[in-house]
Amino acid sequence: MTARFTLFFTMTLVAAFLVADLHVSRHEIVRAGERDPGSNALRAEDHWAFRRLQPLSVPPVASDDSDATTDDLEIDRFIAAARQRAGVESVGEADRRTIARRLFYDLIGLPPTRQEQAAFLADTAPGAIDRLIDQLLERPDFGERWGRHWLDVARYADSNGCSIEGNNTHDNAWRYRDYVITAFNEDTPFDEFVIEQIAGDLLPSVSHEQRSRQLIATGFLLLGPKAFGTRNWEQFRLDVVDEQIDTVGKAMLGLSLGCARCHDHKLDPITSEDYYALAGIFASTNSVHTEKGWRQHRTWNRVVLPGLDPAAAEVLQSEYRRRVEAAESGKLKEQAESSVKEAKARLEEAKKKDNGAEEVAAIEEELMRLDRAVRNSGKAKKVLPIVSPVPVAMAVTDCENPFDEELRRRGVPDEKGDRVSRRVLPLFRDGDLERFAIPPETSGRRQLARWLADPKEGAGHLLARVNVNRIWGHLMGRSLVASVDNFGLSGASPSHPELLEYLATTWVNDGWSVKRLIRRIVRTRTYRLAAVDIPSARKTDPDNRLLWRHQTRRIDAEALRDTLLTLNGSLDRQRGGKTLQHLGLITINSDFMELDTPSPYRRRSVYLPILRDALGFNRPSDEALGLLATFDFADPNLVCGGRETTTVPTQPLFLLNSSFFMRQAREIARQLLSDDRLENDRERLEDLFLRVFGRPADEHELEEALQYLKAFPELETQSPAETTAPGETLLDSWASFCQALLSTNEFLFLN
Amino acid sequence: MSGLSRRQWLRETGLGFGALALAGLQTEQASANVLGSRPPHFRPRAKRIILLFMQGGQSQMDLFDPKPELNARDGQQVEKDKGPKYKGSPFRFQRHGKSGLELSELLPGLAGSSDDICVVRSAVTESPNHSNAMLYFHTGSQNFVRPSVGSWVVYGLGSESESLPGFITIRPTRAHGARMHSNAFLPAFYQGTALGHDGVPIEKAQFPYLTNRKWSASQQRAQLALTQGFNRRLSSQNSNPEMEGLIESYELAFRMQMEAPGLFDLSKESKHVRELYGVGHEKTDSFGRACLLARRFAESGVRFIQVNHPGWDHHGSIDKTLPNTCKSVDRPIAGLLADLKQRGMLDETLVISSGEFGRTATGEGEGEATGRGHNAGAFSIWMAGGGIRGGLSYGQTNELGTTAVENPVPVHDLHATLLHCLGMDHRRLTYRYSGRDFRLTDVYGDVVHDILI
Repeated sequence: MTARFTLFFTMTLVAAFLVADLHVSRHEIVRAGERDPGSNALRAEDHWAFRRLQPLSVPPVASDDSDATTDDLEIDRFIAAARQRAGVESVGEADRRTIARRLFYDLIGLPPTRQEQAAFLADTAPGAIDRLIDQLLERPDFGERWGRHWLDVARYADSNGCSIEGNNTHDNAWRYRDYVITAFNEDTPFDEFVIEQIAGDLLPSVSHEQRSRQLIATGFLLLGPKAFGTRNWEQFRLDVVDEQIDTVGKAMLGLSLGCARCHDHKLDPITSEDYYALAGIFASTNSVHTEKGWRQHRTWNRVVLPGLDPAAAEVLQSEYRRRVEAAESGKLKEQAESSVKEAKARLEEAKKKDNGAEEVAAIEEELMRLDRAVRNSGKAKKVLPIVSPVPVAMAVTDCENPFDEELRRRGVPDEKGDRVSRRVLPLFRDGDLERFAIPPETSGRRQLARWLADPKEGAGHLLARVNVNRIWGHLMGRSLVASVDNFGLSGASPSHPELLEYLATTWVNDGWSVKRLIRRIVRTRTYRLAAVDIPSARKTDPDNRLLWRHQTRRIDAEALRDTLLTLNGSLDRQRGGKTLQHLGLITINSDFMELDTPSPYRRRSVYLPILRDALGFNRPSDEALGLLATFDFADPNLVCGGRETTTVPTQPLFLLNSSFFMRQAREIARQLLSDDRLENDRERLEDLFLRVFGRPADEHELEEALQYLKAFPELETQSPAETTAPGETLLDSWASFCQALLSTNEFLFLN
Repeated sequence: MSGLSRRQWLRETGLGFGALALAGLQTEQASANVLGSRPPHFRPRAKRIILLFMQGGQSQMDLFDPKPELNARDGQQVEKDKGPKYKGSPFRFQRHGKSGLELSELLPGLAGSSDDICVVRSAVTESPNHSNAMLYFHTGSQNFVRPSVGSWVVYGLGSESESLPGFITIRPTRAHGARMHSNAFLPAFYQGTALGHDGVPIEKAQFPYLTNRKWSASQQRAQLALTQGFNRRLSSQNSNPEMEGLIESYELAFRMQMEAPGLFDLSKESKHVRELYGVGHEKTDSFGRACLLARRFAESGVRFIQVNHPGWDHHGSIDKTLPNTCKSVDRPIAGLLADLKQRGMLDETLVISSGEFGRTATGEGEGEATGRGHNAGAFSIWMAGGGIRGGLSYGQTNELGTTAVENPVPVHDLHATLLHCLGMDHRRLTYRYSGRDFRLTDVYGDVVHDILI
């Protein structure tokens, strides 16, 4: 027992007794930090993902494959070749409506409107699909869709997550979110996009705009969860560095670099020395610091953005001073309280009116906001003094005296080993690492960034493979490498190795253009395949890894919410900007409901403030977040290059009962009933089917629907006095019908 | 697996939610067996766990760990003429039951079960900081994002309930976030389902989206029939596991919606039982209801039930506030243990009561306002049922109660032990993520065999 006691408190090597199977063995703990010339490095030389990209020849079209046509694009030939080898036949192409729906969701995350669909179906000239693809790629909605995919990878959140009693809001994270959306819309070359996020602050710039953009991009390094409550500063600092290293590894290279913090990586050729060489780079970067006024007196780095006109700055400063004074003198609270009083008086008046129901509801909503303002005004005194009056970004800078980090045995801060010089990783034997040598006066992030993006001498080939695979997965519903964020030796093998090489190579040769890559993929016949079944093919390849048919996918959380708002015409198309309408920033604490999200919030889901660690709590005040949490939104604590689609009972319960979902359905019903152009129920139903499914209703469905609408009012209601306003029986029936339609697989899945 | 055969297979094996949740998963471990209902590694002592989480940090020297030496030093300064003063406990300890287990006078109800409980006085944790220590207690890691212990348990054993989630946490605190019951990288099916939170009174606490304010049951049945009609017609043309999974989970969800509310209706319990838990009495009503619900969930096959009670962070006026807090939990806990026992469920239910850390021997503040600070070096927890040896006090702290000096039980050991009671070897309960096999206990953990039957 004494031995175990010593073990726990001093974390000595005796820990090895406890160690099992895949974990660190005693031998390895002893060796931690010593370079292992042996097995990992040797095995890694042959690892497919680590090899340089090689030019490939495209397989010819096999003459005996009846499915293939000479029109097939190169990608199709790779797919066909693999299919033929396995003796699996493929299905035919989907109809044009289905393809249009797929393209809309995959490229912009929204359904086609009836007009857009009609226009596409009417375009029967050759190249109609290509034209649609090009239109969609040019829409600003594209960046909102594809930017979100990257935000999953970047573990984007508008708050730090829970640490001690608070959940500090990332008041300026939205600038990074907007940067990402813009980068995808402008088709920023992906290598440049990566370099900016790692080292934007160190790059040359020609304008204030460019400088701002580069600074904002580095917010990538600060978005992760930071355990501000950790007492030991050294531990805290190294944990932040660790989170950065691990995120960069997984996000850019699909490698779990964090594993090497405590011991040499178990499988990949990454030693503890390699890890601490990188740690020096991030440790020499200003990421977190102590600052009075913040909870735990710790905060992340912020940089004032350049280019603000002095006059404009003065306006902001004086407005800010006015607010601070108002907060300090208690005037802010007084004002808020008098607004409440005034609204309450109006409420009383409205309640007396006969037809004042809507007015009452509006004032009640206003009152909720005003009450919140009263509660917040008390805190303003504490909060405002540390809010910056001028625009700042969550961004990093190099520290004044860059230094090499000491190796820490077993990752324990106090167990220091030798200093390890800052350098990039010697992962690939055939790269010239001298090009990335780090001058002592810099952190080395710029060299690291260049190394990450250089396919010839650095890790760019791996960066390309990892991200091509993600993009393919988003479009095809099946990744070529199933372990999207793990391309190390323990990762999955690619289902189509040559195709992956081909895509990565062409992408790099295309100048890393994401739009061109996407265009290449969605123009293929493979993308256009129907989502139907062939029993023989299913028998050989039940998981559809060979892509003999289109992979049916459920639309994701954001698409579901955005579609509902589109269908009832209430989607607010305002783009970008601050969405965390709070006092400005700081702790959300136990009163994180105080966030003043405009209610109802109708902007696209990508603009919803993402409160880390608060998604799981479904509160009526933020149903939209509840929807995200229910439908597999990516956990913003983790790098996520491809979401899982789960099926849990909370999902049907949400569709059956959530007031958000029911309200959207009711709104659609209300519109149908008030549309003068629709003369009878039949026309209303036809219109509804076109809107929801993107196809006309068949006769059987119309009959069934009419019967449903007729029978619904006869059903027993919950408690009539409470739930059904007079004259709303008709609306109830239609609302219920719409809700049922919106809950079907045909609506929820992309076929 | 095709849609039809999947559904058939689901029915035949009765795997319920667990199997459904995995339809369409592409995890790294998908090729291996990640199904929810796995048999344990060896014969289990317990089928389920009820964790009573005493958030804030209970004062061990006032409740479980009598320290005469500390009492003797009451009021003395730690260093001559400077620094904080020692604070003795004003509360008396007594021996109880056949075992003679020592407990504070503040816990008369728990004392009634003294022969069934094992008090571990030598629990130790890593951080004297609420969030870090809570994360550490719940996930085994204070700085990394890891699955909660409840998620691991359901991942390991699955749920026995067809109409309830396998991991339920009753009224968790919002301030500390969902990470305390998060599945992290485990499939979402294993996440804890929160029943309300600390801002909602227990009688209003509900699972998300379980009730409908608008439609009656018959209206919803009609709706569901319509939806499922569409779904079946689509399936006949194009069957695939993802869509079949949703069809199936509709039925389960509806069943849950119909059955679960009945579980919340405590009026179905006899007056005697409600009294046992202190339901209907001002001080004990809230926690009593939560404990009674926990028993009902346990009966329904829920695998891991956590009942949260905040308010143990007694930095001030501890002599007055601690008795108050104790009053709100003591009778409900006594009721829970007695009720489980009389139903023959205690043997197969492991009940654990713990906070995230302990408190200091020195006082904070002056006079009546004195309280105690945070202490990670030692804290007391207790366990009962499910293979635990009752009437035992295990481990020793130093003369001040602040450092475990004999048989220390780190949190990883506690985790290893509770998995052991459920029939699982903590070293074999692994999940592959990001190329590595993860464990609840990381590379640590020893089962504390001395406290097992």
